[in-house]
Amino acid sequence: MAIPQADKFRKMIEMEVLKVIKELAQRDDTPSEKIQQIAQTTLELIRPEMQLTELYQNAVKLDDRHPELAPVVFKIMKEYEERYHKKTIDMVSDFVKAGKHDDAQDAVKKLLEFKAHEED
Amino acid sequence: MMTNEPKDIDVFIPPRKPDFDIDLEVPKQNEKVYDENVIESSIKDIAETANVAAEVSSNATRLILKYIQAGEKLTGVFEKELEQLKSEGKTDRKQAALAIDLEVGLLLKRVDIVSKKLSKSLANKQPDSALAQEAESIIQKIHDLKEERAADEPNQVVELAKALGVDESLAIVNPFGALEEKLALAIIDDLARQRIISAIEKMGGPTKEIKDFLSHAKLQDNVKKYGKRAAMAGGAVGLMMVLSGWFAMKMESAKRQ
Repeated sequence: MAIPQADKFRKMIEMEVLKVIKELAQRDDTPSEKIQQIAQTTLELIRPEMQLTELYQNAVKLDDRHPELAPVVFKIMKEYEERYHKKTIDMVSDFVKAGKHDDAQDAVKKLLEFKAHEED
Repeated sequence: MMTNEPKDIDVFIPPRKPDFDIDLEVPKQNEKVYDENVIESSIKDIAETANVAAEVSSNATRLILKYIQAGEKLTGVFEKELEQLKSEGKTDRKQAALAIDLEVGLLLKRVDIVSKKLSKSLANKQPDSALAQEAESIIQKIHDLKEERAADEPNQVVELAKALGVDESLAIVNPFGALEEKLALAIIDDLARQRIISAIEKMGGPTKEIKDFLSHAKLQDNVKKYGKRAAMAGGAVGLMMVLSGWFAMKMESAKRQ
């Protein structure tokens, strides 16, 4: 059973994705299939039974197939660090310990982009 | 001996033109390529809806994503969610009212789209009976939901009467009559006035129903009815102004906080 904090985080992620979907639909140049795929990816990666860390690990992958969700991933990383006081680097360590080196590499890349953006 | 046999001549026979015209429709630049139905299902207003929807249930945003993923129209999503919550015994009056308001909002958007399509079909002299039926059923649905909403909402004037100590059966049968006397008393009695103000404050401020009740016309009737207290007409208007103005200020300051 998801703890309340994880539930709050999950709702935040879903809400941010819906905002992007709204913008894409309002621009009228996005095929409906694309919008449906974005919804599908979100439903697959972000699930109610997940704990906080797992939600975060999956959320940062949202923009892997959908660059439109890059701003959402950025917001999620910021939210995770600020509100939940978690070190993003811990996630990278978890990936390495689990032998998921590709995931670790992607996470480091995103972390560096995020930190660079923060310093601007 | 040479013969003058005709040589074979290669004759080019052009391919036979089909009997029908094949109109290969090439999308014009910037032409919409999406499925109109999906976009018509209020995807454009999803973020606004989702923001409020999250207050209906923690599942609402995920539910909206599921509908989008399936390419389904969003109408019906909040009604289903509300039924689910009710079946689990997990809903309160405020949640139910919110879900109904959201559902009515979606239905109104849908009926707007359907009626535009219907107008177009009528203008083209090709009336679409399926669209007409859909419009009719949506309007009926909106009516039913609004009635359900009204039935669930407590009668604010009755609640106010009960809060001021009026007998419950009298409050239900004749709430305005029961309150008139209290209000007349409030014109000359500070304590009675304060009780009314406190009771309305506990209810979250004056609703439209209460405001209508406290309207100038009603208070004037009240003052005439209580004869002696007609001399206090100035006080009656003053009370109305105090109650409506004071609450307006309170609501504004609550919004700012």
